[in-house]
Amino acid sequence: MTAPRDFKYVGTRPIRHDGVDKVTGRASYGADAAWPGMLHGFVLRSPHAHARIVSIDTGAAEAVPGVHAVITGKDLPETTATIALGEAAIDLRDIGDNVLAKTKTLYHGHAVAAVAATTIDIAREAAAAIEVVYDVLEPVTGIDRALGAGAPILHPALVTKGAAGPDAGGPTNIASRMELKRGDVDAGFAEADLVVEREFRTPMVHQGYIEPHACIARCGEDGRAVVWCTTQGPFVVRDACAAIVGLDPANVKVVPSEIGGGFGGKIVVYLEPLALALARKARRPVKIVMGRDDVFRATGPTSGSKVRVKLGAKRDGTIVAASASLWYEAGAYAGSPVGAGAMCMLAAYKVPNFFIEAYDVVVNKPKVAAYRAPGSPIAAFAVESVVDEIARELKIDPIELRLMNANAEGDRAPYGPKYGPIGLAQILEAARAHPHWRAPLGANQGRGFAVGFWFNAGMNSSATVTLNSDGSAAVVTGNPDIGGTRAAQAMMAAEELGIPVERVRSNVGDTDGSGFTDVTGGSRVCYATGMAVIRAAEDAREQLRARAATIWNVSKDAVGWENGRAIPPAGTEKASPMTVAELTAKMTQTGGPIVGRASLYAPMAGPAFGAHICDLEVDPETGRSRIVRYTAFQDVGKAVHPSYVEGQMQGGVAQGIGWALNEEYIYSADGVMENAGFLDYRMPVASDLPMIETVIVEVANPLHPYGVRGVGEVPIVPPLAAVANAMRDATGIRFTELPLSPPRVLEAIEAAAAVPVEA
Amino acid sequence: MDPFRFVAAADEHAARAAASAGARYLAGGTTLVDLMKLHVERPRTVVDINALPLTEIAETPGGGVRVGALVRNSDMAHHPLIRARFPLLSQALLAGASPQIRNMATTGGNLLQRTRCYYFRDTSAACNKREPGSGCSALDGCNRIHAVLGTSDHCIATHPSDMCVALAALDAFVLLSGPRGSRVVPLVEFHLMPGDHPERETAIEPGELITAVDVPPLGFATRSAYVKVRDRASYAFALASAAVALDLRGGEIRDARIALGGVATKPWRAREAERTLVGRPPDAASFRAAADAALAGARPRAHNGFKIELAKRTIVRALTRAGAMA
Repeated sequence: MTAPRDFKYVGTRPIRHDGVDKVTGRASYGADAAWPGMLHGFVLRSPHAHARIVSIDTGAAEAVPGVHAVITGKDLPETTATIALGEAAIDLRDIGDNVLAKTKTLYHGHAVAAVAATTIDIAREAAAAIEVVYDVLEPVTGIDRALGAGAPILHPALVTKGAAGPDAGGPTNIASRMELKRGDVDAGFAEADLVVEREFRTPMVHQGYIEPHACIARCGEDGRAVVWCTTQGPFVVRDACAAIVGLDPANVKVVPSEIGGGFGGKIVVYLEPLALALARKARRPVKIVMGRDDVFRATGPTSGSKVRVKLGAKRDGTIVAASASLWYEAGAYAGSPVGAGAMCMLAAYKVPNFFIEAYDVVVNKPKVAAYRAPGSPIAAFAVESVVDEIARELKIDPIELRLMNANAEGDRAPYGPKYGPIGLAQILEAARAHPHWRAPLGANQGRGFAVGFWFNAGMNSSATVTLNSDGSAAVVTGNPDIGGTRAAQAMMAAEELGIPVERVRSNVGDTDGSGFTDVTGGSRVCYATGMAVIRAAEDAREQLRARAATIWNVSKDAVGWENGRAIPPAGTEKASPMTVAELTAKMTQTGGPIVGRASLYAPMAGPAFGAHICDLEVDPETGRSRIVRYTAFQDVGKAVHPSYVEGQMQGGVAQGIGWALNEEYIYSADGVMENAGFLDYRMPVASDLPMIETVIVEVANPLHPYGVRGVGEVPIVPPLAAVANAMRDATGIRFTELPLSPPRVLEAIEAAAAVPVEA
Repeated sequence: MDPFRFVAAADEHAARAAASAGARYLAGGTTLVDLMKLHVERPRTVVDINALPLTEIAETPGGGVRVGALVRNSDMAHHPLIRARFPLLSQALLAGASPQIRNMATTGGNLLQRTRCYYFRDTSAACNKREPGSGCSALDGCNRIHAVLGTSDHCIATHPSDMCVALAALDAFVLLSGPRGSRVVPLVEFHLMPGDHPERETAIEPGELITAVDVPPLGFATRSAYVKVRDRASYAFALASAAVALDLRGGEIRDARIALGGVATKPWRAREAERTLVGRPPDAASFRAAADAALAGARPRAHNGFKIELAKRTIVRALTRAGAMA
């Protein structure tokens, strides 16, 4: 589709399809299900960050009246399978060990046993009666300790994968090392007039979804199982549960509940295999709901990091060389998003010579999970801070400098492929032309600018569009709706069928009721699953044309289609155009029900860029800062439902601001997380944020019939650097460690003021 | 949450009768229920006192105000008498928690708020306040949020209330009713320093019920301010806060009130600092001298030393704001 299309529904803002159920409390979330005969599960967790499990005695717990089942790691089989997952493969042996420790506990909060009982209090009491003997080991509390001499080793059998590192061979905490390179980096730096090098650090942070993990599972004597849970990927849950618990995936049905946020953190399983194993043992349904402290301690945040970046530029601003080293914490098991960070970090810039090395480092903290553009915000924080320094040193406008070096269609991305049409220059120009960029700043205020990149994903999607006899339609896909995808899918089906969007009901199917569909993640749903919905609606429309041909007794090819009506060929006697409703009213007589269906694999998606302007005011007496104005520009390809697109952009910015200013996992020297609650793990609240302004830029993605690009992840990439660059502008201080919390800022301001003048 | 017996008391007598050992009164529930969920509070009986007629705000002779124990924080904060006569108290209340919590939290409950020390709230950690004799994890732990004033070798947890800081500055009284009749305790004596017994937090005796708070008349409280410094704009406890009032006449400070929050083990009245202000002009030097005096006895631990200077700046800012009032 090359000519711009005149849309009727796409680009409008109908009332959200999930709205009424949510605001009236009718929507059923993970913890809302209750089944007859249900037991309550409680998970016993390790008080030690690193320990060998010597023995577990569950006898006393099993003897507690009301207890129906107790499980430990011994109740789960060993598994070695993996699940492919676009952004990161899931190693099921690690996941199996993560959901229930087998021989070692690798972080504070690591599950070691689970109990099912008639009440949650009995389950908790019984769990307390389980005797676990630990051989406590020294914890690896961070990257420096993990790589240091004589570091404790988490996994004695771990071998560094990928390009051999300097310490490859012996026991190691480096799970993998990768390299990306182009050109001659030494020659590049030799050519540079200015070289800036900095080292950055960020702490572990959590997605902070409001709904905690929760599930209920049952397993019959025939081995057939049903799991209801809050998840971004019901098919992942199905396959992971089957492998970890030892069931045939064909016998496991997963029903996704309404979901209260995920941001990547609800792709892997935590409670589901435990509920299923308990249910199998107890022969009763088992429900488990996580507390907030366990969500923080035992589910997957994103990595803490150390990133060293060096950029070289000519006097005119041309970037000629880059080198970078990235170390990301994987948590207890391999699999940080450091590779993605390395691939994203230079995505915006034409850099002829670069060398990037990336290390995945295991530490005694929870196993990290995906978090919105996994790996990219950390890398962008480092690169965009250094680009800001170059702009300052060379006295070039930061947007100008980026425009000068911006990649465009046909340029080769640092991670390999050639870019198709991308909107980087367009968003930079939109930012430069925006009144925000020239607005005056007040006292103690500063302005920061940064760009960010995400690949976006395609992968597998399926959809059906069922027509009802009254001309309405029902869409079913396998993607839990986090960001408004039901509304977008209804709009796409309405667009293709030519029926009002209110006449399309959009549904999330379970693993038996929908075709195989990959996770709600990678900003892929509106793009790839949306494409499946469009094709399924086209399929239904073609069937409608065939029915009209039958009624008119003409060939299908002769039937036209305009504005939701079948048009008879010219000269057909007594035939006038028929609407969808008129055609579906005759479905039974013309061949039976009409179900349009489509499934597809999209190997690629349209990558996307965002550019953010942040104004910040700092109180020099307390170190507290306030974001006073924020504008986000993003190439979204085509905004199907602009309100949701703006909401995604604002949500990403809000999370990014929290990451930049206040959020951090605080660990004691023993590896115990000290701030496992929303009060002390400080996400921004409404009063911390200004109205976040959004500017939608649409550079059509040729891979999608409407031009859609993924939207949800890009907006969390620039804020870390945009905020830090604003802080640099306001205080004159370059902060290289997050968060920019008041005490850290105050200390730096005081230290800068106290620099003695040389005599 | 652990199982408990629930009693809805119809009147004060029934409430006290039901309040046997191991019982807790339930008012707004914003502290109690929270701590019950964490298994820090494990009452055997919960006595709901919300039906008691303690919801009045009334004027007292001479220009004071009596606030019933069940008056919600939001109602007190927005009451015309409180706003007109004791702006620092209204500001302190509005600086606390979130609108939803303020709509539930009560005056009496606020007086009994428990500390937000991480280790008090984590039942797997040692805490002398929660489990006397078990030790204090905060002394050498993550003590960035902990107290620098009024600490002991057994506890360095801060008192979390904003309201109590303003009440300390205002010389308020707590009215108690118990099996041996009623009594009145000055607010500054109501909360106890941790000393050797951090588990004893208030002067309240077993079986006693808070019925009201008396705020005595203080003419110059109209020139007052509450300044709270915290990590984010709302839903955060104070790193440092100051409630101040100034009696300014003829370009000179005749009297002053200063109380601190977020830095001490109880709502902290800074009398020495008040004395340094008397007879001085309301300028930066005077305010700074008062701030230095207020923190003179501060004892930092590894991660909370920043609070000393931060508290001083908070005091100076509050005094500057009060001094500049028309």
